[in-house]
Amino acid sequence: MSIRAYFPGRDSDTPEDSSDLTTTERGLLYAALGLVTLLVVFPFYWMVSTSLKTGQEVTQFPPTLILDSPSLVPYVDALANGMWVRWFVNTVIVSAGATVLVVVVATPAAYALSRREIPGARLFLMLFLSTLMVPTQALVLPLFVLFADLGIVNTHVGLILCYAMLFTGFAIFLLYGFFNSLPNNLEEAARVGGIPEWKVFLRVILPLTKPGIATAAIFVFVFSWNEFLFALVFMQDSPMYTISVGLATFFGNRGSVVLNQLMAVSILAVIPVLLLFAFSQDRFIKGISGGFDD
Amino acid sequence: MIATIRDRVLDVLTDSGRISLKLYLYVVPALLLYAVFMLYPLVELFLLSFQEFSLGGSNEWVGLANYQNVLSDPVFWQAAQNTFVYGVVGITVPVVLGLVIAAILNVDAPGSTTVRSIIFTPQIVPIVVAGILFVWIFNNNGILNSVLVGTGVVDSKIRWLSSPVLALPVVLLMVIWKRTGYYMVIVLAGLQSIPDEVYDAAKVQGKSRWQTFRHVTVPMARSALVIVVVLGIINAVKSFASVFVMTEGGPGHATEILGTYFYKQTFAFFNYGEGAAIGFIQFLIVLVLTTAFFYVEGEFNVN
Amino acid sequence: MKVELTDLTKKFDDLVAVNGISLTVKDGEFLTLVGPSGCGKSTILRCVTGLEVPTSGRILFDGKEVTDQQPQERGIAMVFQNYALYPHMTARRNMSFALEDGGLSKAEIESRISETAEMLGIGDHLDQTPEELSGGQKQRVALGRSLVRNPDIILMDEPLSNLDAKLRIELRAELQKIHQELETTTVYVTHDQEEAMTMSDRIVVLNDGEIQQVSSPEAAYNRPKNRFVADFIGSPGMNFVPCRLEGETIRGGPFSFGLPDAAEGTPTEIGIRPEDISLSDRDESDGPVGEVNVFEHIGPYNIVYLEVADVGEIVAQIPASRYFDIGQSVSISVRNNRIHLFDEAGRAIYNPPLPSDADAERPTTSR
Repeated sequence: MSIRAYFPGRDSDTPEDSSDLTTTERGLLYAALGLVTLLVVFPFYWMVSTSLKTGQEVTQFPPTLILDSPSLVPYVDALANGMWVRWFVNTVIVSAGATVLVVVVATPAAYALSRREIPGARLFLMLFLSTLMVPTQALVLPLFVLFADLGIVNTHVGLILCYAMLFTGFAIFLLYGFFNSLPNNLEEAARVGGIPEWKVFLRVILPLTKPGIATAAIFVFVFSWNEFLFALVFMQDSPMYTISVGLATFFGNRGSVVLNQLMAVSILAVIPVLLLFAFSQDRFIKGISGGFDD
Repeated sequence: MIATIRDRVLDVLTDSGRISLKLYLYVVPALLLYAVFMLYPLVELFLLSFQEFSLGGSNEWVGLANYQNVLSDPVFWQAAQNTFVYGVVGITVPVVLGLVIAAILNVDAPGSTTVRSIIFTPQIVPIVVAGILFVWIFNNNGILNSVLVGTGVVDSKIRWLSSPVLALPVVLLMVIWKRTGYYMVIVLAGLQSIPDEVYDAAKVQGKSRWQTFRHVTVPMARSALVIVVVLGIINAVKSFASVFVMTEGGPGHATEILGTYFYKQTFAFFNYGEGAAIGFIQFLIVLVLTTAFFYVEGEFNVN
Repeated sequence: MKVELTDLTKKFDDLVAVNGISLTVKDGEFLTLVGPSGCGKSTILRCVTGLEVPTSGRILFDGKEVTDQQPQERGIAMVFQNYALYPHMTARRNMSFALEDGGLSKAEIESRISETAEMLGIGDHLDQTPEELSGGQKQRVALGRSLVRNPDIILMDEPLSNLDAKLRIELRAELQKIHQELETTTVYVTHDQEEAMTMSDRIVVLNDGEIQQVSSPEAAYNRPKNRFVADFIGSPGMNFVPCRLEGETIRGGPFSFGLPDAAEGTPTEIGIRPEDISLSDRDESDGPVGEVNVFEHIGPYNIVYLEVADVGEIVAQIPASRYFDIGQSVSISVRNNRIHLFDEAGRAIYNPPLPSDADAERPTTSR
């Protein structure tokens, strides 16, 4: 049964359907959509506008909707403050590191499970998928104890390993779907062609996997960038904080004087992932809806 | 030269029997990762929950004492209840809104792709940023109060986040803002990728779109909703940052969820044993719900 | 290289795809496995390549056991129905890929590639990627990819099925030429009996995982061992008329023939090839008659579909110069009484001798 049938709307391939709607109907729908968009966008606007305020304007009541004198001072102050920069760097290191590790671990696994009929493949797949269900929070405690023993609490490596644990399952799932969509007798052709297994993977299949890997990488990077609990627990000293932890700690102190700076930093924290998203929208959306049908 | 040596070494690893053992090697790193960083900690968690942890280093086994303490703590039950509400509302509202928006967006209008992207954006914002932002908007001296008081909707500023009644809804509002785009995207993809035959068939039979919507979509959505709610609760059990950043579980314990309760017990009060117990209880809840989920899923496929 | 299959069986859960096949492929011969979908031909091929592992049985290459060996170690080459070219490599690289790390010098690899490309007529396309090539070119590259390795044996799994008719015939001839030139042992799989007949030294007719007949194409056509082979080989297919034996006379519908001495059993079915049927305007004799249902002009000959009382549809192949109208009543006769006889079990108990055979034992038509 097509899910489409259940929704009033139209298939973008059949233009004549748009005549189904009366002008009033159309108008109402557009208005509703406009309202929704406004509600979604407003918080962003508010974040930006606060970040451009200075002095009294920041906390006065009632707050100004339109700015008196927008200024970039909060941004300058924020960037001049070595702390914020340091935290950004930490976040980049950890996110990039996690991305690399996850891709390296998940890609071969997804390949073997998807394209080669290993006995037990289904079992393994179920296993990896089940890791997505575990309330990972609960693991913070024993992992903390373990890492403390290993001496990797409060290090980039420690957090990267945590993120690898958190996100590899998802990456495997994503890549599994992608591998399934590749033509299915490429390996056969290579194997009967005398190509050794490792070469089949590295030289034949992997080059074709770039889009899938890119998608997985983007997701893992964004997930790592936004993650909070593990960063909070595992990064104990101020210099090691990630940007999320830094923001939360600062905010906890509720020093309203720096609210504009806080907003500025928040914007800066959002920009990288926003850019990533902007450049790879299709990938992102495709990855979520699980569609890799080529 | 090196190539042939490499080939030789790798071929030695090949079981010239039925399956190439080499292929299992591909899965080993991932397996190892989970064995060390998930399985082992899970077992440790279980064991830890029966101990009294003292930072000095000596633990004693206290049997079920930790569980007893936790289960007799009214805060735990408050947290459990809040988690449930958080889960149900935090999923059903975004899903329903997502469906509606997707349905509207599907009526092709210029710029719908842009709108789609805009509505999806909150999903990729770090949760901490979203939390801080909403706290600021709902601040006593924040923009919302300003508008409400200014337009005369209310007489005096509402203390949103200090109100035991309003705090949780505000947190949920942030979550809804953040998540709706995600479900919208999924539904939209479903709507746009499937051919139109059934829709045309219904049209030919003279059914109006709203009839189809009401009499077919809604009942089917109801059963899909059950699954979604289960997933929502599972997700809520795993939640932490949203509440922690916005209210830290307060005022009182009005917004306490299992995640924050766990964190406080473990890292604020250092009750490691009890923390472990809470953690393990969280694990059990998710396990039960997941099994129930797979059980129901087996009956029909949605999406 | 000689290939021996001994008692080869392959099961997929409960489905027996290949049921105890024993077969020898002679060194240098072109052997075709042919049969309807699901007969097991592809499965057998894949067992020979190592892509499938047999449930039981053995496979030997020149006496050496390879049953459990990985494909890479068998020194084979294979051409696939959908070409399976590496999409991200040029035609040249597709062909050279397997030769890298093989100990050959760059010059040697280059020369092999250009030689092969020359032979296959793709020399101008070597630097294009698969998506820039036509179906025929892709298959030639796939073939080149195999040939360039000087394999001991080439396996082909319906390589021409994805090509249009004209290209198919063109490549068929080319494959034959290449085989004559290189003399590499070739095992070819197809469901198209015409391909099998035209290209092979020997064909193996398969059905339901079992061998029906192994013989030269000519023998399969003229001396089918059972009803299945008789039906499968030849287009349009053989006509079958249920019959019964009355004394020394075989009667089936309006047809009657004398029982040939060489027949080994009791016939329950008569088989008549369309080209052995001749038609004439209805005459006064009370021989078999039929009504013309469909008349097809093929070009070099005509095909007539007749409705015959008590029998049903009979298909005849007649010279291009003869014409009949739809609905016309015609007299049917069998040339030289060339009939095939089959018993209850489907076994062929009699096949007519070829016209060249000296002392022909032919059935006589009795009235």
